[in-house]
Amino acid sequence: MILQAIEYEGFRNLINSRLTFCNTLNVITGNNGAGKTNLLEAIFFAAYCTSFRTNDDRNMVKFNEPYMRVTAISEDTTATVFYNGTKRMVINGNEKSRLSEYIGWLPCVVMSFNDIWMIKGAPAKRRNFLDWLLIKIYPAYGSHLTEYRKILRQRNTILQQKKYHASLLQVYNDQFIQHGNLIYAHRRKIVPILKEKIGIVSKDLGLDGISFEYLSSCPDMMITSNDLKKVEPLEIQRGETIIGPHRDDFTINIGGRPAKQYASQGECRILALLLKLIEREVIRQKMNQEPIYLIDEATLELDHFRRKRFFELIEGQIFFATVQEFDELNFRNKKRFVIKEGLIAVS
Amino acid sequence: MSLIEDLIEKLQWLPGIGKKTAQRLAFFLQKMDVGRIKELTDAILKARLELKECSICHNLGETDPCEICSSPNRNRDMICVVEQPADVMVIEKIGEYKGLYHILHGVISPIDNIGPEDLKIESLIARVKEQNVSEVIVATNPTTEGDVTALYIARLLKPLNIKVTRIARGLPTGSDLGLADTTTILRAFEGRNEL
Ligand SMILES: Nc1ncnc2c1ncn2[C@@H]1O[C@H](COP(=O)(O)OP(=O)(O)OP(=O)(O)O)[C@@H](O)[C@H]1O
Ligand SMILES: [Mg+2]
Ligand SMILES: [Zn+2]
Repeated sequence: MILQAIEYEGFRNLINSRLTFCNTLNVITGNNGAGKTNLLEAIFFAAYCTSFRTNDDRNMVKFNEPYMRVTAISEDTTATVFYNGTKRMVINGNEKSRLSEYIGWLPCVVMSFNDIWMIKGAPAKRRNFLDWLLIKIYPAYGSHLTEYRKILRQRNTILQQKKYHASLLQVYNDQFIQHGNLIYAHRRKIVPILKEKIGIVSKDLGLDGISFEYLSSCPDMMITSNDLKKVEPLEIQRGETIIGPHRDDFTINIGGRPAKQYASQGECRILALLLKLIEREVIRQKMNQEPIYLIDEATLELDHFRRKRFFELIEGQIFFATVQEFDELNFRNKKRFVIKEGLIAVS
Repeated sequence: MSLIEDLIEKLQWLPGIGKKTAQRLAFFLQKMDVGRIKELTDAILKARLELKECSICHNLGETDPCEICSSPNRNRDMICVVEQPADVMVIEKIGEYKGLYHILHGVISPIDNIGPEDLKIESLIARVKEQNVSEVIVATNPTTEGDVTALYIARLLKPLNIKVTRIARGLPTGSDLGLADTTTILRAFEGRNEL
């Protein structure tokens, strides 16, 4: 997929404009706070109708403006997302009422400086990685996840009630099992692929002995009514649901040891990139498309060799935001953008 | 407090009316024909004073029991369970369904502090026990809350050996009966599944 152009209005600090991109490397430079991440976010928003850094769409609307709009153009698609409190999505002139009908037209892989938290941080960061990967390849997964979370919240509320409603809890148990297993069914499809790809991609990066392991709170990645029955007394005591996909995690191991505990800062960074490169492989395989790459300072802290290798590995269209351009980027065609207080110029 | 502030504040008593909308309405009302305003306030007062909740089905009407419950032309062995009185209006407009109704006045949602006791579920069970009902159709909205409410009702009716059905998922998930078109609702009724 190639993103040819983007047009934005009322988006963060960006001055309303239209940009055309080159098919290979687009380098966006600018000082801290100039708007580099905002531009990547605008591209992502046109692809997925949401942000990769905020859960509240209102944050993306320029201060004191009533609405925002982003239009992205590829060879065969013009897609617009408009937001003024409610969202409207249009692809090639057809209004889409559901997110799952919209997303998927522009697969993106985001690589950010914060990805390191997928390795070093809490399990929620890793679940978020898996969930986003699944949304990207199976857009309906997003609504399954929303339903699952709703059931979960309702069930937790019942578990917290002093005099909990036993027969209502039964109904929620059935619903929880049904929705949870739908999430598991999707995750079960992806885990073997991740295991396989991590071996291949890590060798490309010059890493050895790397493996992926899914840590499931339920045996065989499946909730049974028996398992749920067993933990019910504990759940009532704690007032929350303690098994299910929302409690799972995964680990990246180096030589059989969890990277979270042992890897160096630079190693964590390279492993974070590795995960994103695997995401890329999954998207390529499942969608038969090369995604675009939104890279936000993700290669800082890498040694010269690894950084060069990393940029050689990616064949698709890249949007690379950085405070300072560096030599490793000189090997390919590129278009350079300089951004200053939200105003973007081609240089 | 000035007269206009007072009006703006009172308009916000209504659900879904925030300060902005209340302001807009207040300034609109201020310019409105006095005769029309009287018609409006009379209608509100009359509805409040004269509309009654039917003691059988909990629908709102001018009589108790309501028109539907007291009609000799309705099929008495079918009860269609809906969330709100507005849903009855939607189904009645289509004119195909000839049975009776039962209005829950909400759906189960623990996070909103709405449990089964807060809805007209107990009276539904009592009704089914008393009357000779052969089928209960649960037509709550196709949301997670609507589903849970339907399943909960089905659980309670199971021991009574009554056929409990749920309207088909022809309606898009998360939608509202009132927003669907006639053919969609008809199809949802025809394709109902046993719970
Ligand atoms: N809704 C908004 N309206 C206007 N300006 C905003 C809005 N949201 C954020 N900004 C501003 O946008 C500016 C640029 O943010 P951005 O994160 O894109 O910077 P950056 O170029 O990526 O900087 P860094 O190099 O520090 O990562 C920030 O100074 C922020 O105050
Ligand atoms: Mg930034
Ligand atoms: Zn009645």
